[in-house]
Amino acid sequence: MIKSIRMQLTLLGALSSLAALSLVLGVFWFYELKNVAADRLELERQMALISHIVATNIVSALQFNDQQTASQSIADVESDPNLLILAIYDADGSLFTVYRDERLPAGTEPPARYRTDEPEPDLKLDAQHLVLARAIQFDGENVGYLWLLADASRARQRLTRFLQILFGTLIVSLLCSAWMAAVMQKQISAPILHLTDIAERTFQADSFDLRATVPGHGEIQDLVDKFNHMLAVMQQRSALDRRERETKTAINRLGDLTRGEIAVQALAQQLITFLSKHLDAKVGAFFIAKPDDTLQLLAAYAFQTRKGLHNRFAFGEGLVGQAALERALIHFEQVPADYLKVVSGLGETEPSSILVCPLVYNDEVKGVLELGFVAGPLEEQAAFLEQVDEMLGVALHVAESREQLDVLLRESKSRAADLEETNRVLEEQTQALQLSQAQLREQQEELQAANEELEEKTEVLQLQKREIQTKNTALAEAERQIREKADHLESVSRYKSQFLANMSHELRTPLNSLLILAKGLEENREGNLNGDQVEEASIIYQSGLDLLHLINDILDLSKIEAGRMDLHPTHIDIALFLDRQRRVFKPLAAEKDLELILACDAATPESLFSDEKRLEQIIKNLLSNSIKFTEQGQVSLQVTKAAPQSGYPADWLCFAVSDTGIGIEKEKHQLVFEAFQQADGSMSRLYGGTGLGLAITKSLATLLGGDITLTSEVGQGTTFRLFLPRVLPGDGSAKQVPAAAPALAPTKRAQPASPLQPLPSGAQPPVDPVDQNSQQPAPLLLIIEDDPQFAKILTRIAAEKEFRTLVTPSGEEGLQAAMQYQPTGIILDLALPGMNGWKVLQFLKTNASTRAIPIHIISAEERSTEALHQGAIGFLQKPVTAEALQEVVTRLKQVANRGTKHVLVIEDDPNTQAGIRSLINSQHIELTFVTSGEDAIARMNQNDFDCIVLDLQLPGMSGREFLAWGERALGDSMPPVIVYTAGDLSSEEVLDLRMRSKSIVIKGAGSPARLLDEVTLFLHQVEEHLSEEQIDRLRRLRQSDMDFEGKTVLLVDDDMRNLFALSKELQARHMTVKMAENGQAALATLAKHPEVDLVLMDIMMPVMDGLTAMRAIRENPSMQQLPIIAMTAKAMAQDREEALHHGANDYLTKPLDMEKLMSLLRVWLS
Amino acid sequence: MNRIPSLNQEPWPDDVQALLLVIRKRYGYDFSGYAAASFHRRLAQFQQEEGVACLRDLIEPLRCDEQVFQRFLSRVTVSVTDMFRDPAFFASLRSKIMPRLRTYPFVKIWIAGCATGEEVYAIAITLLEEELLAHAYIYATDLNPSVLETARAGVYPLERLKRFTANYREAGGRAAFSDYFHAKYGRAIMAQTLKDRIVFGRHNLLQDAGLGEMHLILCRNVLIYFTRPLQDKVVTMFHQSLVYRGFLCLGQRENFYGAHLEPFFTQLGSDKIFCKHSGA
Repeated sequence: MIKSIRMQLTLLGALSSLAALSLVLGVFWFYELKNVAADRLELERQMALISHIVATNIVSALQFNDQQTASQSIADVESDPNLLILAIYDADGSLFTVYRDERLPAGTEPPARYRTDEPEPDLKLDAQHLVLARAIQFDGENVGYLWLLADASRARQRLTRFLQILFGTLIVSLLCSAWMAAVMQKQISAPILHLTDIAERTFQADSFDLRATVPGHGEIQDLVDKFNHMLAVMQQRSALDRRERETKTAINRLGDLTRGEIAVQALAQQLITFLSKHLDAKVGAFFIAKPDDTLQLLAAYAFQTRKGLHNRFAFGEGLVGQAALERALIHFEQVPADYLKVVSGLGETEPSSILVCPLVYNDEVKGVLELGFVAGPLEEQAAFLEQVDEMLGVALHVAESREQLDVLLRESKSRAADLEETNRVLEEQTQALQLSQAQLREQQEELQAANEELEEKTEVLQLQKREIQTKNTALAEAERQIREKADHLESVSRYKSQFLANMSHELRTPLNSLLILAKGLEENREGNLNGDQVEEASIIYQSGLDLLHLINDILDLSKIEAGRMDLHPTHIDIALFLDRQRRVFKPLAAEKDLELILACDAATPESLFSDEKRLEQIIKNLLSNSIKFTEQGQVSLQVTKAAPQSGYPADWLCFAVSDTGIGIEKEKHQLVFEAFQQADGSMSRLYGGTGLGLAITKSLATLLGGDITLTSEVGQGTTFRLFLPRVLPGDGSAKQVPAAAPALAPTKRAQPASPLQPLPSGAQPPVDPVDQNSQQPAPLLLIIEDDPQFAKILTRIAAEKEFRTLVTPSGEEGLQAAMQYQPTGIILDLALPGMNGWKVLQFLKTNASTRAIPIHIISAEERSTEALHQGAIGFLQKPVTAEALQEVVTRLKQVANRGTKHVLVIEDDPNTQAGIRSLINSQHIELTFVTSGEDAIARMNQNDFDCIVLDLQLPGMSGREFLAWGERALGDSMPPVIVYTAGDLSSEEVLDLRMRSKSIVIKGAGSPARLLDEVTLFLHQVEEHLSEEQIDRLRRLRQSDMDFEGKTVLLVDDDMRNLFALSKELQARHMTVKMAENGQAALATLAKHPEVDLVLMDIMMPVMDGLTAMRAIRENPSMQQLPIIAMTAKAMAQDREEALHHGANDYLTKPLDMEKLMSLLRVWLS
Repeated sequence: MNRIPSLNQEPWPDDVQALLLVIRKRYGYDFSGYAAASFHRRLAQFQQEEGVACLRDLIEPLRCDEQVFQRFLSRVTVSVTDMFRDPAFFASLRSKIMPRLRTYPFVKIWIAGCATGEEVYAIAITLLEEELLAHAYIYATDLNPSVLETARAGVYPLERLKRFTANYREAGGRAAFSDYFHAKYGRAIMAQTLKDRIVFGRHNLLQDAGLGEMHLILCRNVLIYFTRPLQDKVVTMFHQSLVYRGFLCLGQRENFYGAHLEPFFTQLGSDKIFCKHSGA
């Protein structure tokens, strides 16, 4: 809407005049319209008249077709201004004549033909024309038609003109009113607008400076004046407001300053600075009240200290003090010139007035402000100060209090920290105390227990001591007795030898005569004897000869024993020697129809250096024996170099005497060489012939530094081999063979029996100080030791370990004894008189007969490595303890018990092989290495092995396949297998392997030690072969227990030993056995094998224990009737209850009683 | 304590006899083989705790009330255990025994008299660090079912863990000890990975037979409370349970007569670790 007054006024004028005029116009129009209608009617009437007249006039013209007349008739119509066209048509409708007004434009023509068939056109073509058409009739007959066009516009023209005048008038009046309005509004709206404008600008500028300046009249002027007045008032108010606001802001700011946690000094500084700036003071000072009622300068603004000016005032002192005292503001005007200076860098001036304002809180003066002003008046500032002084007082107080609080807080904090510290320390101490208390208690108990044990120990030790003492006394006594006996024996032996030696002479003398005379008789020189008598003489001679031989032999033997045999080594030509023997024995062989062969081969040396007499004796003995015991075939003596496989050095000679005789039983081989001595000292009559011969022969062979071996089978002939060194050992000169003095216990000597003769009864066991009544031959220990005391000790220890002993004080005797008696073990001292220990050791190790005897060295020297290198099995350095000696003896025993064991190692990795080889390098274990399962099988088909070490990862056949083969092919006779492999094995694999091997060792850091342990164990374990009795029992059992045929039992136990043992037992009774290691595996197995008839369930197992498993089994409806027998280590009644409660049918405690188990099985499997 | 103990125990005094009889009849435990001095001491303590004047007054309560018996059991069989106690022992364990155990595909370890189980977890932790735990099962047994429950739960007060950690360090442990337990509500729960390899079970050394085929048996500070005959019996049982060259470990301060064990075991060094050397 149009708001402007101007416009409104204008509009108002316009509209009112418009309304008036419109009204007038309307009225006039209405009247004119009426006229116009009347005019129109008039015209029509007129035209109708004309047409009638014309029609009437024209009839005749038409009838006579007189155009001229017609035209003339109608030309009269031109007097009518309205008529435009008059057209006459004849009866056909074609144009007859026409009248046209000259004013008509050319185009307007009457229709060319009059149409009768067309409907009557409108009487008006349009508002401006009138058309009339009628027929011209005469006597009721159409003679022609008439058409006329008239101009109807005249009336209308008038109307139009009238309207135009009206409009014109309207417009003029409009203009007039507009002009008038404009004039009017100027008076009114201009001031209003101005006022509006001022208001707007004031609002924009936000200040009330502007005033309306437009002049006005009357009311307008009033309005303007009032308007200005209002502005002025508002200006004033706003200034006031602003001041107040400023003050409030200042107070707020002050409040902010004082609100924070700020130190007193800083607060004072901030306050004075702010106040000075705000109040426009040029100088300011802030004094704080001290507890001693003085005011101390604390902060200042633009303050210049001057000499003589105080910083401290007491209450009442100076203006400052006074203000404090009065608690009122002091306003000091007209400050003298030099009172105070306002100083700046550029100059100075004096202030004109000072305000001193005390700050009071709670009726206590907290501080005083002093401000210096240059310009006055100071009413406002004073007012302001009075407003804020309380607040400042409060703030000061608060700040002071806070500071105090801070101090107190800090103190209390530190005290608290101290307390905490103390607490902590106390706590720690308490804990420590508790701990030590607990420890003390523990220790106390342990100590008490230890005490008790110690007391027991002491008692036992006392007992032992007494025992030992008793033993010692007994031993001493025994020793004495033995010594006596030994001495006695020695003397007896010596006496015997002496006796025999003496007897030789006595015996030979009469024998000699006997022989000579007998021979003489046999020769029958006189010829006086008959055949029989000669025969008899011959027999006498022969018998005497035999007797002589016998005596010689006995004496020889005793000589050797007595150590009185001398050797005289010479060069012996072998070929000649053989010849000699041939000459002697050929006839004897021929007598029995035996072939005699004496030969040596090309490689044999030509000669040797030895005692010929003794050599001959040996050979003669052997040959004669051979001939004696051979009925048919041949006897041969072959001399060759010692063959390498004989075990003798290659430069030795071998005299082999072979025959095709009856042979000697293996059992008698040893006995053949031994002499036999009865307890009562008499000689057996069974000797016959040269019965002592072989004993002597053997001794002689030893004397010569060699040895005799025997090879023979019954019915297959016999071969004696004499091995001799080419050079008699020693310095080659006649050597005194020292006596071998058996100190304690001589070996028994068996008769060199012919195989058909029974062994002489009463084989005397050796005199053994500990074990006199033993019938078993105890092993023999040879002690080569020259210190008799030490030897005694050794003997005693050996006796404790059930050895017989033989002590020789020198190396040579020791060698003798070793070769002769073949001890089970030798203890050798290195420091010996005569031949030293090293030589003895060397000899013992090179000599075939003594090489295998384990030797332990005991010596004062430290030569252990050498000793071991030389082949000793051990070395002890003197002085030695009794325990060490015991160990030595035991060890010798053990070593003696061992034969050589064979171990097969199936391992394809060369490094591991080397490792094993260096690990197991005992001389009693022989290692065979193969790199694949197939090779192993091949080897095992050729040889027996005592133990197998098997790697699982092999090329070709795997370790497992090998084990499977072993189980199939060898069954129980498969040697124990130790699986030695790298890598992880699952528990199923382990179970599987354990069934077929004895033990599993995983390769790694600790494994060599363990491998060695296991191998050692299995090689020496008492074999678990069943004794005859056990086999029998099992056989019987097998037959009786047909109840178990075809039954399937599930064994559940985490103890594999138990599992396998049980499994074996059950399988032996024809039961099928399934195994599981824990409850879970058991359930799985049951699910797979529903044919299980009974379950043996261990209770304590990992993963799932027996009780849980039994529960699970019982929950399964198909297994509720399955018999379950629980096995457990736990023995108490409640454990049994528990087992039964969880579903067991019955219960067995471990260790299992097989009988009981079997009866239970019988019950539950039926 | 000033009595001179004899090798073969003197018979128990009458009132103790009666007590032992009741216990055996009612619960099946036979304590007559326990060493007298320590047993008397413990009985006295128990008597004091129950607040009765003489031992006979305990008979009825023991017979009728199982709680009383539980307390009795706890008192008689209590042993102070700690994790990684005797660090030197654990060091020996690692250096002497573990390498040997590694040569077996699977290893079974029996801790007899495990009490509240600290030692069991210590062993489990050691095995874990030596990478043997996956191939091992630990059988932890004790006479007293209530301490066995504690052991099975493996929950210990958090204060004790401090000491355990210190012990663990001393025993040569280098890993973060806190990896082996979770702490919650002021208590520590031992890790499930350890518990998975441990089988807890009740087992009475006095009367039950041995578990089979163990490679290592630990029975520390239990045998000192038994009489000699009982000790022999238990040791024999252990001997049967061990594999060849298996190990038996006793408490550091337990002394046995050398001859006592000698036929069966070889002692390794000065630790109380014995190696079975004979028999199958």
